[in-house]
Amino acid sequence: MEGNSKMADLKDAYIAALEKKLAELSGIEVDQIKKNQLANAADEARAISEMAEYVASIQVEQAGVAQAGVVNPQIAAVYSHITAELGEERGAHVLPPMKYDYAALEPHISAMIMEIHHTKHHQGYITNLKACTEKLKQAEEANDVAAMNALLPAIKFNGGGHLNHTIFWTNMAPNAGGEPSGPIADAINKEFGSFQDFKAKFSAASVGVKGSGWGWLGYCPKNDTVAVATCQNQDPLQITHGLIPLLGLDVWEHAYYLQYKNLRADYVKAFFNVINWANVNERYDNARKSAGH
Amino acid sequence: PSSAASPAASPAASPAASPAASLSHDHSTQAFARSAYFHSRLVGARIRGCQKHTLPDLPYDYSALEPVISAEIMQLHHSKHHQTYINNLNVAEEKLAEAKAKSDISTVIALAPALKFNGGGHINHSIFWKNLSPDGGEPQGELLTAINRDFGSLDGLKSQLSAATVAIQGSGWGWLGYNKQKKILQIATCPNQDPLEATTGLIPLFGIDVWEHAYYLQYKNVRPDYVNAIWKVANWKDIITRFNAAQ
Repeated sequence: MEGNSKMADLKDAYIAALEKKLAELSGIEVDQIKKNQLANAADEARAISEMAEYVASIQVEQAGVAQAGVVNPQIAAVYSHITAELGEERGAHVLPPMKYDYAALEPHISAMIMEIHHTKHHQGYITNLKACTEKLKQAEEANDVAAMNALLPAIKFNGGGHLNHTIFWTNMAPNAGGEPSGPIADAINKEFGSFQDFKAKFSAASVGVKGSGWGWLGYCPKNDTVAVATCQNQDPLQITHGLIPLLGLDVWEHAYYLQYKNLRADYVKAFFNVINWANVNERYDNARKSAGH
Repeated sequence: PSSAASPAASPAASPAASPAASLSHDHSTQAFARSAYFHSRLVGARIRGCQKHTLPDLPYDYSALEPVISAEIMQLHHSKHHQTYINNLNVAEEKLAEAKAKSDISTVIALAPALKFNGGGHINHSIFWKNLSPDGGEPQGELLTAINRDFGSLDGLKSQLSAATVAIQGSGWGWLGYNKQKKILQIATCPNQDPLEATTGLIPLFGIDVWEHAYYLQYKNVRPDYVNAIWKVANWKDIITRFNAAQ
């Protein structure tokens, strides 16, 4: 008798451990009904096989998260994209100098915004990225995979912030703007019909970002096309949507508020006066080459 | 989803201004036309859902919270940002009523993000204006007891809520909330305009808006300075009222 009840306790403990890990892996709470079925099942074998079917049917969304003891590959991806853009190795992050004066984009974007945006916001992401990278190094040395993965949100946020703003400064220039020419113009016409149609779509998407984020024109390496996309916060475009960033528009309020207040649409319109299409063409050319086209 | 407000036309409201006037002078015909016209307006209003949201008045002047929050910020925040959420909420609800009337479930579902964003924005800011005051007093009574119990001290609450709020990535709100099931105070943060109660089940007591529009003109990128300062204008009388109502 005692042996049976001990066995039942062990079974319960085993099932509880399975259910807990299941809920953790899948993010789904094990159906209470199924639990009750299991508890009440006269035919234990049948109940167990139903449970097994249920487990097998769960879709694991992100393999990196579901597997135990695996570092999330997005961490390395963030650093590798930063290295590809800036040439700086992991941990050696510095504020890239602007290629034009803070006042050079006036009246479209004010000097005060450019200076604070560059020296405070972008610098802030770099400072925090370096701090995260230190913690990442310590977690690696301690072989603490959980601690490493716990750093992903901060690495994505600050690494993304560093990467996005680096691209942004090069996407703009004084005495620029207007309509593009060259290969990017052809790609835009092919994908959107006309430059005006692209401008309308890009603008609507950027204005429509709920909260903080970015509007993007990106390159899809799989289809050899360009596309408009948006990201929340500092989520990096390539990791989030698989598109290579060509042209980005920061629509965080800090990017325009001092000058445009709540009128994001006016800022988005003004942005088209400062787009450095030569830089966009260069990025497009590099992206196509790297995709083998 | 566009943030521009563009009121949808309701089919029942399209009759011209006074159709009664264009009909014959026969009294019974006129009376019939008038009642038909008003009936169509009422039906239209019912389809639209005529409860339009409006901007609540601020309980104090725009400059009343200076030097903690500037008058310029208060005016833009209230008359532009909050107003825009209300305008867009009304548009979304009108579209929702039309979709429901047509049993267009797909559109009903597609409207969910706009309802959450603009409805959340309206809820959150309506609470926010009352949560602030030029002379909000201090926590006391049962609320103070709960604060000491759940956070160690008032300073404990301030430092924990401030830290969580400053750390929000992007736009969002930091909240002191009340957990009705466990009967405890809890801190939570929500992204964008996600409303606290609908998202977490916590009853909102005190919220700190950390969208950049809430502080940027005055504090620029230094969010911690704004969050630390806002405690000086916390309206504890309102927070106590909310706490008592949540019991």
